Amino acid sequence: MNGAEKTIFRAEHMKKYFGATHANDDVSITLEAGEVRGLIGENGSGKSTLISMIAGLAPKDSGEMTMNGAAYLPENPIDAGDHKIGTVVQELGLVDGLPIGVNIFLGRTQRFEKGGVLDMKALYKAAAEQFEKWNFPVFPVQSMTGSLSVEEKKIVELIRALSIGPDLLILDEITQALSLNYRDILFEVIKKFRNDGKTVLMVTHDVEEMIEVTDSITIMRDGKIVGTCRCDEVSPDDVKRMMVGRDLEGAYYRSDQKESFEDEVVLSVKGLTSDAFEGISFDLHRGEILGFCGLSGAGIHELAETLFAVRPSQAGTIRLTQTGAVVKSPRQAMLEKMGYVPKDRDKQALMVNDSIEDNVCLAAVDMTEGKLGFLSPKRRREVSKRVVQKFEVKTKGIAQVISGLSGGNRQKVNLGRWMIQDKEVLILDCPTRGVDVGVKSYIYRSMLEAKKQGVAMIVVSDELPELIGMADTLMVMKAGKLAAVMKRSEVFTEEKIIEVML
Amino acid sequence: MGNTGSGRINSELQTKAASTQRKTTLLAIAAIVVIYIILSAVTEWRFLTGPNMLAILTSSIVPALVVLGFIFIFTSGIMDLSTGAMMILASNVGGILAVQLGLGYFGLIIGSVVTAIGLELLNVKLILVTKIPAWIFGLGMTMVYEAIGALYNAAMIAQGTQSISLGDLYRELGAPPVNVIVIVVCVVVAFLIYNRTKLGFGLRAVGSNSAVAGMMGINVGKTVLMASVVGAMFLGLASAVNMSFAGRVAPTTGLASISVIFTPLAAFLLAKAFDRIFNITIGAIICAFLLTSIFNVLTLLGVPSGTLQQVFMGAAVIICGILSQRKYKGVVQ
Amino acid sequence: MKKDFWTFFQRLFPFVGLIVIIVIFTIINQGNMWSATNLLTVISIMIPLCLGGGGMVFVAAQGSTDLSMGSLVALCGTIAGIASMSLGFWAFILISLGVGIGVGILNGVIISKCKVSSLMVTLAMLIALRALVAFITNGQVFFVDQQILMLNRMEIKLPIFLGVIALMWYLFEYTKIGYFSRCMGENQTVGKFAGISVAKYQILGFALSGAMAGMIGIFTVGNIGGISPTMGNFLELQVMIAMFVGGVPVTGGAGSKFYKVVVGALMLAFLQNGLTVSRVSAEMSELIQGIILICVVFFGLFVRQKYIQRQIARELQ
Repeated sequence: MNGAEKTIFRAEHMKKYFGATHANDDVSITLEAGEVRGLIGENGSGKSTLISMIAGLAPKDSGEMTMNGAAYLPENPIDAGDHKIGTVVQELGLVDGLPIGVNIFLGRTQRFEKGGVLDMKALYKAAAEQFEKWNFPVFPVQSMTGSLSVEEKKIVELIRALSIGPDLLILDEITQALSLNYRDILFEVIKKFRNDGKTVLMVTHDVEEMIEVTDSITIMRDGKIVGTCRCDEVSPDDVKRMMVGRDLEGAYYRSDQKESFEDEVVLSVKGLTSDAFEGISFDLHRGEILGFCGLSGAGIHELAETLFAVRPSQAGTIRLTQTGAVVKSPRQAMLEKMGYVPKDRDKQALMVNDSIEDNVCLAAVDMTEGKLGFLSPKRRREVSKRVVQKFEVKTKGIAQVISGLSGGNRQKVNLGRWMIQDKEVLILDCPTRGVDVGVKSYIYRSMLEAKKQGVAMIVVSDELPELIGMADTLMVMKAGKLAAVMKRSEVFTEEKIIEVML
Repeated sequence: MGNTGSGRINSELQTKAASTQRKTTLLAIAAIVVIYIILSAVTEWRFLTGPNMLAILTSSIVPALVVLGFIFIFTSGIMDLSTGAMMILASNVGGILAVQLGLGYFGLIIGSVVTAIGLELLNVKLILVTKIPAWIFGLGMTMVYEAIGALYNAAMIAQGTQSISLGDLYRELGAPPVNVIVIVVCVVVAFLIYNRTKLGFGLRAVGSNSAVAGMMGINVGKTVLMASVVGAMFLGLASAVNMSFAGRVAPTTGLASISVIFTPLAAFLLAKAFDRIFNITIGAIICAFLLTSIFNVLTLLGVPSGTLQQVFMGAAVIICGILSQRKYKGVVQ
Repeated sequence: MKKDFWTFFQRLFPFVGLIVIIVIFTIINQGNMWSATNLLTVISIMIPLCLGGGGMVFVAAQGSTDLSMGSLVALCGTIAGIASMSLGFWAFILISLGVGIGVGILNGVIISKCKVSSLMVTLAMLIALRALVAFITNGQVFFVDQQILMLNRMEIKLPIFLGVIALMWYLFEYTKIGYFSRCMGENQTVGKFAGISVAKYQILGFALSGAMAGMIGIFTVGNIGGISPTMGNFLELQVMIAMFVGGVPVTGGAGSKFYKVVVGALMLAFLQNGLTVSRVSAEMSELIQGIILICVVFFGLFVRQKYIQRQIARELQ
């Protein structure tokens, strides 16, 4: 930091709710000129929400922001750019159907206009100059953006953010997508910002890298800021501890500290490979809860989809050991007593504009089908009512449309419709995503009950505490490969797991 | 992830992109030449003659103009099927202004263009406001526009005359060289708007990814409306040229007007499929000419027009549709 | 139960529409509509609409559309009619159904495997099949065997019609075919994640729609006693109007119910008959139907949206 500190950006008492969850609960942050600040936290800690509000991607619910001393209330990223804030975030992609150069200046093409017609030569030249200015190799700015790789697209997004000449540059998990060469160029850019008295706010999962690059680190947890520390005063372990430092009140997790399941293998996976992961092999036993964890990009959610054959695999087999059947299609998996709760409840699992009854019977269709393919309305109602009663769904009736239910009740319907069937293998992807503590503990109890009855479960989750609290065996994945397998009796700790994950 | 691009430098990327571009363009041109040679061979060289080529060019100009219109209307996702019926109305309004009000070419062009723009604006505005799926709205409006045309026609017949006819007047617009000049000017204008203006890029951004376009400060509704005005202008011109070429455009009923836009629709889909190779505005002309050629060959081979040729037309639309969608992944209904 | 207005309304509005149309035309035509002969006319208008709707509703519930139905009716009738001259009565029935199902499967396969929008494919089919009919018949009218004319007698036509409609009703409301079709219309991704083989049910839906086109082809040939190239003209749109008037949402999904198809077909039959009896010209009739199509689609979407909003509001109270 160079001498006299000058506040460039300030956010105070920022609040943002998504339904009942506090994505940001009274967050205040101040950034100085010439400062490189890191922002870190687990998935769902609220860092992306905070950045979205600063970048003009999402409106705040309450709070105040000032930029360069003036009140700041961005309408969209272009408006944020006019206030000298440039952002690279996952939500704000590129338009594939436009040339690279146009994407860089999209929404800001006025200055190239000559009598209503854009001077494309000047536009492309200006775009190429931006690449040169920041020492990146010049991309073919006249080519279509859709032909670029993921990494190259990230670079274009970065150039777009830099081309506005920002006083504050926000980088959300960009380094992960970059190879070493590009990373080095990016770090040079960041250094230049610091020397010019400008500010960078960056998010990454890599703690070591963050400590090396930034001046200070702000740590978020559960929608709140838990602390800010100077990088020359902390070690990676300190930061990790602060990220995790949640009280693991075990009240709603299982209490035993030893794995407990039968010897019989129900599902055997050998060398499963797809475009998102490779060579995954494991055996799932009767009554076992098998957890999968990994950072974004590790391939855990893709694995869950592939296990239920919703996503194609390139190699390997998924075999149900009892019948010897190999899973080829979701329908066949269902008939072989497998069930699947996908990650995105409202887009992949439930028809939100349809009734509870229709949603329950979609998964439990085989329970309601009689002779001649007759779907008995009576049986459909019975099954639906059983789910509602057994899982204590708060509703006026089974004709209620799903979108009228709270997140927790939706998830109860989503899980319940599989759990009332006599399934042998359940694949649960983020089973407690976006539900409150009460429903969470209810879901854990239901899972333990199913476990007692011999149901084997594969739980994929972004929340480490829940895996630590529930799993018999924990598989840690990193960049598409199995990085470690841990047993419950070996005592999982978050530090140990994060060590492998990062 | 992505350690592929690390070593690439400036010139390598540029050369690679440029050389693939060149290669595919050459390949496409070669393919077209081969197609034409085959077509000539099967017609015993009656196809590649000067007069025949001129005839094909003349009859491909109206479809080409319509494709230019479609580019600006359909790209934003509004697939308006009533354009056929709308163009029939526009032709007749132009004819009335030209002949009955004695306004000549000025009346023909202004009448057609203003009618097309007015009706298309009405359609797009209503689609945006009511959020009715564009195709069903287009079907409904087709019935409405066809009925209006038919009612007018019935009224004329009741008076003892037929629907408006240009007779021998004002026929130069639809014949060479004027129609060729019109299409050249229109392609240049369309190319400039589509590739060189804020509106063009806004439209393409909305069509490709309207969420990102909206976030980048583009007013989606306004862009769609403005683009449809530009598109309707080309449709209006196409109506005027067609009126001048044919002398009379009779109103149709029973959705027959949709078959009017079939060749342009197929050409549009084909041009979209090849937009990596030719810019879509240039591709519009090439594809319209290509399809007209194929139908010309069918006629030369003695395939009855109106029946079996229509079957080929349907097949062409489906094949062009498949070609234009092959890159597309996701839910199709 | 004031707060449940939209819930009731979304269920009742087809019936309200039906009553309104009947009342209006009873007044306009001073009761001419209620003669026995005219009622029979209404029924014979209604039969193809209802059959067509009974098949197309599977496609519509999936959120797709089948514009090829009218032309397919003509093709089925033409091929089967010509075949019947040498092969006899039963061949007529089987070939008509077979052609319908065959073209339906072709539609479904192109749409599901090549991922082209159903609108585009069936629109092309609408033109191509009609042209094929014109080519086969060469614009001429053929006459068929007397035996086929029997199919036009109400005492034979009506039981067959009721049987087929009952079967389609069962398939749509009480089997996986209809249920999965509705689910796909609600959200195809959810369907896929819950194990529905999307392509299979798309093909099935179009096959059923095609089968009903074959059925209508049989009755149409029976009705006119021969083959005419104009058979089934405009039918796909009329069937669609009937479905939408009945309250089947244009986007498909859970709001698609079979009773709405039946009520809608009745409603449109009364409307068309009423317009004819009150001597409205064919052009005017097309105009009115076009406007009605747009209005009911808008109204249907509006009511469905209100219903969903009401459901959400109810829970939040």
